[in-house]
Amino acid sequence: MTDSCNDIAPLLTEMAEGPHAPPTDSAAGRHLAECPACQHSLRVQRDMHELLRARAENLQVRAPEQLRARLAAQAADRAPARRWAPLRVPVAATALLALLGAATYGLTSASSTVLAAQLALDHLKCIRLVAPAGTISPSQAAKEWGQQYAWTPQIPASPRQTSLIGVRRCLYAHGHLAHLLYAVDGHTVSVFVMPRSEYPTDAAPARHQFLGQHAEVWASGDQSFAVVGDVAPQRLASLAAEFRGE
Amino acid sequence: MALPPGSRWLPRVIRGVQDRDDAAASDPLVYLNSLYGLALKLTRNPAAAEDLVQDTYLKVARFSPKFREGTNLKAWLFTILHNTFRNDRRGASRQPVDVDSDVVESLPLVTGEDDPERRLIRSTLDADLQRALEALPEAYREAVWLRDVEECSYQEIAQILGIAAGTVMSRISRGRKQLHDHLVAARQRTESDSAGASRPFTSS
Repeated sequence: MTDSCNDIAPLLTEMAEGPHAPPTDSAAGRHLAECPACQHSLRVQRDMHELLRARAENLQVRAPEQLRARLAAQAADRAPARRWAPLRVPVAATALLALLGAATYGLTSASSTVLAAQLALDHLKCIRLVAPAGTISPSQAAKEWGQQYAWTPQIPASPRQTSLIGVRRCLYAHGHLAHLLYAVDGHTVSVFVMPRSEYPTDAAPARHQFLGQHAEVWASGDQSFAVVGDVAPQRLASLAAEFRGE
Repeated sequence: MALPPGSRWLPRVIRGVQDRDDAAASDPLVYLNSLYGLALKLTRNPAAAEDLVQDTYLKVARFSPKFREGTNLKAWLFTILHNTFRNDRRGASRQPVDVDSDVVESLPLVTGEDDPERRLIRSTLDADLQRALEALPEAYREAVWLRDVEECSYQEIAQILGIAAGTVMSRISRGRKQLHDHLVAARQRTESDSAGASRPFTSS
């Protein structure tokens, strides 16, 4: 093999796939016309290319049905996860509303009031954007969340007569939280799970009302929770208790 | 509470969600057979190929927000499968069987010409062709498969394998030639076996 053979080698790979030889007045054409090794290489490559193309359909295999079914089931389970992409709450609007909330409802537990105000706004925004995707398994949702993100939310078991219908990943003051949407008596109720303690663990759950929404905030372990919805205050309190496992 | 109509951020938020949904709507299962075919070519084991495809789809789901409309979905899926295979093998500390080296790139070409041989090659059985493909070094097998069976472009193969387009062409060239040699050798073995079987008994 000569230097010219090496030079022409990449051309032969492409040439083997086309119908035409290179022009004989080109350097490559002149070399090819005089070099039996390159002629042989071109012919062999063309033969193999044509053989494989002609047999491609026979060579390709159909994936086993069991594998196809398994993947389709995984994709169906994962469908709600497609809505986990973060939505940024407009910071200025949130801050303004949160301040209004704090001013209106007092500063006895200012941090939970501000948090509740922000989450109420997020709740109102997300229920407008999320179409219910059927009932979701809480354990499956937690597992998939854990696979995608660096933490696993403690997704509470669904209380009686409720079902988990959506899971979103939303931004709040300290990063991302898991926003769970439940269908409750014809209403959509949000449960927010935050990956850090936003509220004293030993403090009693704090209750707020904001923008027509009732909210209850509490902490458990190293995670914080909030339930937000426009159901009656007693109903929301009983839901929160059930979510806490009481 | 209604969100402020005409607020400037709202359309952007909604459009963002729609964009992601559009991307997710491209059904990666459309290419399942192609992915399984490549997985089988890489692993040469049906159970391992299924595992590889399943791992690939898990990663596809995880990476789907990174997928951009206009990107070649099939090439993107092949890229994830190829990288998953390489990472798995690295993780298992298995002996690398790749031949991505200058030594192999400079292997001498095998020559040999015979027109009847070409005719015989064209009549190769599919099973023999599969066996010859599987006998190729992994790097050649993958490049030849992607080009001549899956009809990926050189540029797409370069992206999938993470190598230069020139290296892709070199691997395809070497792979085709080795494939040819395997087929010729297999044909000669068959003919030799047939001749032996049909040889008349002799007595001393």
